[in-house]
Amino acid sequence: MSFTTASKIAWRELRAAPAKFLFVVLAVAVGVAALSGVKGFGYAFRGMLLRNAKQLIAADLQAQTWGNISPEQISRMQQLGSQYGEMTRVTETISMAGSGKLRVPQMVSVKAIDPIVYPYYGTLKINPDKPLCDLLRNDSSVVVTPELELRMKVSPGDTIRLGGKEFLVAGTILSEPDRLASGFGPGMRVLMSRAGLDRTGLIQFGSRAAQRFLFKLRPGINLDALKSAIKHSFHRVFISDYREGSPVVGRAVDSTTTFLSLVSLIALIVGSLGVAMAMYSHLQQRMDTIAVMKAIGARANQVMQIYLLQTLWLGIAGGVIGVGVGAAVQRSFPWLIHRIFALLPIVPWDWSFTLQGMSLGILATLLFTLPPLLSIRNVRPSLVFRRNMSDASAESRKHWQDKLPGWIGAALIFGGFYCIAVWLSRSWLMGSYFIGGLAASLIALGIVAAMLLFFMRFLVRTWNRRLPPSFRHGFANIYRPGNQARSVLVALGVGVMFTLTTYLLQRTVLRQVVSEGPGREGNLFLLDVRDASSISRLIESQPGVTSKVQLVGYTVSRMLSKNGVPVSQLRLSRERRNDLQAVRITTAKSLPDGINLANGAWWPPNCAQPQLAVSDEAQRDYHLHLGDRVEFQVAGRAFTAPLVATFHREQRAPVRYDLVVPQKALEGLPITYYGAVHVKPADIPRVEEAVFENFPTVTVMNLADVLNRIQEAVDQVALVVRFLAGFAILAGVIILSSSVAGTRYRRIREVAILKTLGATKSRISGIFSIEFSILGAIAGLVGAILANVFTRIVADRFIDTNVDFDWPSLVVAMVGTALLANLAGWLASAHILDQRPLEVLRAE
Amino acid sequence: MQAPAFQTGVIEVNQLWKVIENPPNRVEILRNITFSVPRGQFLAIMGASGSGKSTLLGLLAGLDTVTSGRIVLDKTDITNLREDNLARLRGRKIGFVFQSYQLVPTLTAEENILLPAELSGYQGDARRRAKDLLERVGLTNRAHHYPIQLSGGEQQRVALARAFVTQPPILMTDEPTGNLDSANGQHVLDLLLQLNREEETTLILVTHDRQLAEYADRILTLHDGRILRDEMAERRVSEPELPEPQVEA
Repeated sequence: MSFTTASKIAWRELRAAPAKFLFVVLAVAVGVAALSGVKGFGYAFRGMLLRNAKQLIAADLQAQTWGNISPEQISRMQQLGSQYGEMTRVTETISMAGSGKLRVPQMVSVKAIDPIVYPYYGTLKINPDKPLCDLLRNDSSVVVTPELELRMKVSPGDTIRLGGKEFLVAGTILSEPDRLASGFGPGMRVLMSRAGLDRTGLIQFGSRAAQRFLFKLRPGINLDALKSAIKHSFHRVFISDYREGSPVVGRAVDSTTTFLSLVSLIALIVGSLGVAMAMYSHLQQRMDTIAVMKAIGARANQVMQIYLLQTLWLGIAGGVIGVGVGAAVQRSFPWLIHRIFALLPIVPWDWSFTLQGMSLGILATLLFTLPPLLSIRNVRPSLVFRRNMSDASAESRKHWQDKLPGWIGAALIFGGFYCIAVWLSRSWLMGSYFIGGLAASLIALGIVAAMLLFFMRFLVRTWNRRLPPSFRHGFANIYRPGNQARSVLVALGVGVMFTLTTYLLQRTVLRQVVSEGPGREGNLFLLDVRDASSISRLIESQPGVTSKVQLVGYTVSRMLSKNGVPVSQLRLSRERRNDLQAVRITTAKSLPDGINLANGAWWPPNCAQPQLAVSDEAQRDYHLHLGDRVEFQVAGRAFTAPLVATFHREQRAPVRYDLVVPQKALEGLPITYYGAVHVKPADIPRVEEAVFENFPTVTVMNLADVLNRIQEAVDQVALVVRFLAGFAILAGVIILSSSVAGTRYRRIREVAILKTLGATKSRISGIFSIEFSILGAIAGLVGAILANVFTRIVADRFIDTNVDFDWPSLVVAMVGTALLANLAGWLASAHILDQRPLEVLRAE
Repeated sequence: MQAPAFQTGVIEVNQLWKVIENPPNRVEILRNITFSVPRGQFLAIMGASGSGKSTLLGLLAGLDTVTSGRIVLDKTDITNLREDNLARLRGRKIGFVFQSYQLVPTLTAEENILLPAELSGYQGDARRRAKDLLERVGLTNRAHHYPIQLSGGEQQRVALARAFVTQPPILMTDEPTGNLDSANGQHVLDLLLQLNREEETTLILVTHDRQLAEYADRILTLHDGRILRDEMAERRVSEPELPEPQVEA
């Protein structure tokens, strides 16, 4: 058969049933839209990062480190700067700021720069449009973001207070080139000179601060040599250059889009399942034509060519529409994830995924239509004479031969989607988990759906005479030939399952944060506390404070030796040895809450002798044993502590204890404290104000604000996941519509017969509504059951919490899906009720 | 009626069995059938409903597999041929006319006629031959009509033209006039016989219509899966009338 003839037959069949194939196209389009939208955004974002790499770090190369840096390290960086081009240092931290117009202090993100050279690349847009060095001429002026102006009710010309010092707001930051590279996230930004930061006194030993060394390099510089020199100067440093395009942000966006791509792939798989169903029912209807073609000499592959072409065109049409809709999804993505990646730069439209998205759509379509296409081989030309008979002599052979295309198809589908998942996630492991999980979900859905259908059938048979006729007819419709109830249930169920799982997990995470999070210790957090006793006295004297202030002290130390052996000679990996150059030691009076003693004995309260307790992780990492004598150095002072205890840290422990020493043993050393206190919500602003007045360098965080931020972030992630999981539901709805549309002729005939026998329109519509409602309700029930099971598994394994079965979600899912199914079913059954019986019966 | 000068058997059937199983029932449709059809013969297969005549036709054309026995078609043993090889063989050697026309609904009359030529890679000028056949069956002006736009008689005439397009040595027909009224049925039959004469094909006709079968050189009557009678034209003239077979439902 020539390509032209095959095309002709394929096209004319498509043209003969446009409504039926429209559903197929839409099912593919939905999946491709979700996938190309997400992946396209990821590509566009990556491209933007690479194109604007220098602007995004405001330099050719950036070295970022956290914590304290020594004057030697700074001078070494300056030396490298002179050697390779130029260098400037940027320091970022968070602190509290107050204004005359707002008594309650606000947390701000402070960034200190050299206004003469910053930024090396990109533009810092400020209103008024004056050079930064003019605006930050002295050490008492700052420029701020509009959000800060709004929330602190200040404008250029007003003053704000930082670290107890007044600063003039000299301008408004309109855009900041290296905002994404910031170590302290978005927040309200205060940009100031280094002299200004020094004046605040915010940066002290142990302060939380990020140091970024920006290099502008002369042409022809060997970047690797510079990187190597920087690495030798710091124990922990993260270096990125213009060739990498903000690797941290890039990786974050990559992992986000990878996860979302896999969620979108579910929509594509569900959509493709719809294509397979539609093609299967189409081929069933074409069985006679196929048999005739075979009878007059067509070979199986010639017939398959026709339907392969149809599938291909449907895939292409779905792909084209999907890519078009995907463009809209891509456009809406920055809005969807603006809370996750705040201050996203403008991401241009990227078409590079267009072709890949289309190819994926076509591939998915072809993969899922393989079983029905391969089954063409089994269509016997003798069908022109008789159907549904099998050959006795060849019974066993035909049995497995008939099933072979199905098995081959299933294997190809599994392998194909496994490859797609691996390609999308760029990880064999993740691809395996995804496909394994999805296959398990689909099998579970299929089994539960089959069991429920069986149970319903049993119920109806048993109660047959007691059921109203509409219900009996409606239920019988589910089992009508070509209704594909189980596939519809699986498709809709997958969508419900993913959407509901996301919702249940989102709620579980938030509940966990509230019940097990730091809220137990208090609802007002204190960071960067130096004078623990004074601040405790002040806070505890405030009205509304209902508990003692709980503070945990820590310092950053350097481990010098173990049992007299210098760290440099210990048999440790380079990474672990580097860790010990700046290791955090926490202080504790007694055994802290959330940790369990494993070995040894804890020190008595008020112990002033240096002693050491370590977590089982630290013990393993640094090869420590009870009785080891470990020498540390803090701020130039050395002390030796014997290892007296090891402990296991519970997951819910409020503090990450690793190395612990008695509180009194470190007296006289620079200790930084953090902690919490319970305050009546109405009194929190007053306490914040008092702390800010008396301890301006202490950062205070309100639990309600923190929870709000967590909730916003979790909500945002859940919104994106639900948005994409919604595509899977949409695909399921399309499949239901397609299935209903596939039985349209049978329905029309039934309506004609029922009308002839005296059934009213309302009676008939009741029958159909019951059918759609049952399908929807069962899909909702199956999806909700599995969503609860998955949530329980995930919560148990990854969140370490128990989740009760959420019964209300079951009801909501059943009712919601039943309504959705009615909507889809009636859309696909349009005008069926209006057919005149005589027209239909005469046409037979 | 004078019998044509037959050559060696173009169809050889030897100890053919066909068992159909539709659990728990087992039905022996054909039992130990043996016969030979010489080239150029017009053979009518008759029998009551369920006697196995359509099944026999299907097996002769390789449309179904035999349970046991052997069928040789124009020197090719088709019993164990693979599906695709059977399709190739049908395309080259067999023309088909079915009771219910079985035209491809998405192709026009002319395209339906051309389809077997395309499928078999017919070497001649298929388009010219299709036009010629359309003219011979009187449907030149209906060439570009779809089956749904044609009457039953017209559809069957298209099916006739389709059957002859590749000039197959064998033509198999299953109740070709069964779905037509008497006038249209006669017209189709005349065309069938005329084309058969002109094209010199071996014609196998399955029918329960005695009158129709009377046109054949030879009548094979099946009863309950066995050959009840195998009679040539000359003998039939001298023998008494057979009882009228039951009419199919």
